[in-house]
Amino acid sequence: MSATPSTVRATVKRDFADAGTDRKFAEGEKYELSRGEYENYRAAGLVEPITDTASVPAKPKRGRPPRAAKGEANS
Amino acid sequence: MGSQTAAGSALAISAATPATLDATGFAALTFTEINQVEKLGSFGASFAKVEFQPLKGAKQKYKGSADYGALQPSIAIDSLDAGQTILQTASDDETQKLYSFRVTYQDGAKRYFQGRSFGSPETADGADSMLMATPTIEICTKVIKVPAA
Repeated sequence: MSATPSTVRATVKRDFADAGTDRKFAEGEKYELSRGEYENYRAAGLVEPITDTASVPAKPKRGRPPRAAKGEANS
Repeated sequence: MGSQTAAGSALAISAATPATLDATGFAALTFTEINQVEKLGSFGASFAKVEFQPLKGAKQKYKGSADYGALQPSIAIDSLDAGQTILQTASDDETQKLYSFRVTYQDGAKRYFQGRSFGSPETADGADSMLMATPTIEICTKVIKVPAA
């Protein structure tokens, strides 16, 4: 069983600042947040989790090899 | 001296729920401070008064149900502030979700409770005044008092 990571990387959806920590966050940037910070900001719609799907190349679809067009085989 | 002014007091909010409704449970949460608070106002429990007037003797008074009260801070609106955004989310939330709150006084004493924000009207007054919000946070749990360390 894996433990819940204590930090989360998230993308900021719009500029905002945290008065308690004096941190400023810029739209579109990625930040390392504590899990508690992340949950608060996510609840307010300020951040979204970084999904790795964008960085992983898509798997090529399995399929038959392309067939030669009719008539090409004997030409 | 145990007296202090209100200066330096702070209000913070968390979208999370404590594992236990005590100082330890609340202290384990991450709170986000709400910036630009002008006043916190008064808050705390009060009890309904149950009275009985017998034919003989003085009126009898009993403590009835507890009402943990409401917090009505006045806040200068700052659209970039994370704490205000969470509070606005709590105000717009149409579910019965409880949010956690922490009031910190100048000397470090803390007050923890859970509540629901029943709206956050905005006030645009005269030219020489700030655009203000006055949310009503109804307190739904006992206020946990933690003295200054």
